[in-house]
Amino acid sequence: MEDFVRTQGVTYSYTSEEGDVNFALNGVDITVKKGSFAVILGHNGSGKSTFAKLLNALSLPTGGKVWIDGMDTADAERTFEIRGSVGMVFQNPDNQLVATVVDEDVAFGPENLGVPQPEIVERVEQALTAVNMLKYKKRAPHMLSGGQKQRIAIAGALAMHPKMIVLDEATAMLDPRGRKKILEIVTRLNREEGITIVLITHFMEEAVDADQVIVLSDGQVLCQGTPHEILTDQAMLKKAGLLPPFAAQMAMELREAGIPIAQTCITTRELVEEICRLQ
Amino acid sequence: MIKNITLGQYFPGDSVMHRMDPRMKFLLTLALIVLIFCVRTVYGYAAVVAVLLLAILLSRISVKYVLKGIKPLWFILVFTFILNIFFITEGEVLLEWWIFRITEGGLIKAVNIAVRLVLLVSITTVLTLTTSPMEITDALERLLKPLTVLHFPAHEMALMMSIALRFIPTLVDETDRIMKAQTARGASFDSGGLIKRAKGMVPILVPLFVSAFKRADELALAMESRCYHGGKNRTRMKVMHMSFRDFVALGIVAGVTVFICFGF
Repeated sequence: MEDFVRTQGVTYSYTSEEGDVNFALNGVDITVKKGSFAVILGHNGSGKSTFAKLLNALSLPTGGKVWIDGMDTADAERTFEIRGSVGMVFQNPDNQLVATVVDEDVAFGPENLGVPQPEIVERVEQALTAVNMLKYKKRAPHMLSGGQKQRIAIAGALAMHPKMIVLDEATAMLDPRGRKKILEIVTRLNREEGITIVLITHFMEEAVDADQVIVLSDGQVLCQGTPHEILTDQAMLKKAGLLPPFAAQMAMELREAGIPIAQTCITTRELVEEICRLQ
Repeated sequence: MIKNITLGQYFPGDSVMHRMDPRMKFLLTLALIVLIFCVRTVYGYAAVVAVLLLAILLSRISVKYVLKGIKPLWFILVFTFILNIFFITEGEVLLEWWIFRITEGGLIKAVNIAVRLVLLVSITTVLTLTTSPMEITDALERLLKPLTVLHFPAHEMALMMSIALRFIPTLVDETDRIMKAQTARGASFDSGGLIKRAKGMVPILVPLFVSAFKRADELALAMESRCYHGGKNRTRMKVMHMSFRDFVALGIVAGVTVFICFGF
C-alpha cells in the first residue's frame, strides 16, 4: 500500500516573547499508509496538535517536508486540494460549527469547494446518515450535546469527500459514551469507506484497535509500532508521560504478583480471556 | 436569567407567509414602510391596514401576538404624541389652558405619527415572526449581491451576521457559567448602586471577551480547514425561488401603492 502521509525531518519552531526559539516539533519522520488507522499519542505539550495542523496545510513546517497523497503542503497552489482531501475535527465542539442549522453547517465545506447545488444536498444527506444524525438535520447546533456536535463536525468533514480525516483530540471534551460513539463511527468509516484516519489523543484506550501507534514526546517520535507493542511497553510510556490502558496495567501487576498472565493484554476482553485460561 | 433573551422573535410555522420567498418578503416590507409615510388620507391607511391584516391572517399568527410587538414602544408612542400635540400650532385652536394650546393641526399630526409608528412596527413584526434570522441574512446576501461589483462585501457581511447568530446562545451559556463561577468566588452583581453594579460587570466581561477571541481564532482555523476562501466560486445549498404566491403578494402591494400614490 502506498503512503498517504509522509513527513521528513519536520520541525516547527516559534520564537517566544522573550526571544527564545522553541521547538514544538523537532525532526519528525512519520508515514501513514493509505486506508490505515493511525493513532498519535502524547501528553500535553508533546507537539501533537501542532503536528495535526501540518497535515492540512493550516501551518507549514519551519523545517523539513510534509507530503499528503504525494502533494507537498508547502506548494501554495495545492493548498485547497490538500484541505479538500484532509478533513479535520478539532477539540472544542462549539468552536468549529459555523451555521445556525445543522444541515447548513455540513454544507459549508462543499459550498466552499463550489460543488453544484443538487450534489450538495445529496452529500449532506449521506454525511449525516453516516454519522447517524439525519434526524437532527434541521436542529440548531447549540441544542445538541457535545458528542452530537462532534458527529456534526465529522459529517462536515465527510461532506467534502476527504481521503483522510484527522481528529485532533476530538474526544477530549466528551463524556465516555460520546467518546465511544465517535470512535465507533471513525472505525466504521475507516473499515467500510477506506478513509485514512489519524486520531490524535491522550486516551490510551482509543489506540487499541489502531493499525499503527505513534508516540510523540517533546516534539519527537519516541516510538512507533502496533498497539500491542506500544501499549505494553511500560518503561517507554512512562518516559512519554503516559499511562498504559487499564487492562495492560492490570496484567502487569498480576504478573508482578506471580500470576502467569501474557504480556500482550491491552483490552479488557483479552485480559478476561487470559484470566479464564488460568483455570 | 439571561436565558430569556429571544432574538428576532421568530415564530416557526408552515403558513403561506412562512413559505414566501424571504427576498420578496423583505422587499415588500421595505416598500410598505416607505408607503406608510406617503399616505395622506384615511382611505390610504385603511388600505395599508387591510394588507397588514391579510398578511397576519395568512401567517396564522394571532393579531394579539403581533400587537405584542408594539408593547415595548408605548413610551415612544406617548412621548411623540405629546410632543406633536403641544408643539405644532397650526389651524384652529381646540383647547387652551395656561401655556398649553392644542390645535387641530397638532392633533392631526400627532395621530398621524402614532398610527404610522404602530403600522411600521406591526409590519416589521410580521416579517420577523414569519422569517427566521438565517433566512433574512440569506435574503440580504442575495439582494445585495449585485453590489459586489462596487466592492461591497455582501457575502462577508452575511457570514458575519450568521456567525453572530450562531454564537449568541453559546456566549449566553458562557456568560451564565462565568457569572456562576464569579458568584462562587463571592462576587455579587445585583447589589449596590449603579456604579458598583457596573463595576461588578468587569469580572464577567473580561473572561467573556478573552474566551470570545479564543473561539474566533479556533473557528477561523476550522473554517480554513474546510477550504473557506471567501465568497468567490462558492455555491449554496439552499436555493430561493419566487413562486406564484410571491407574485400575488407583489401584485397586492403594487395595487395599494398605486391606490395611495393617486391621491389617497
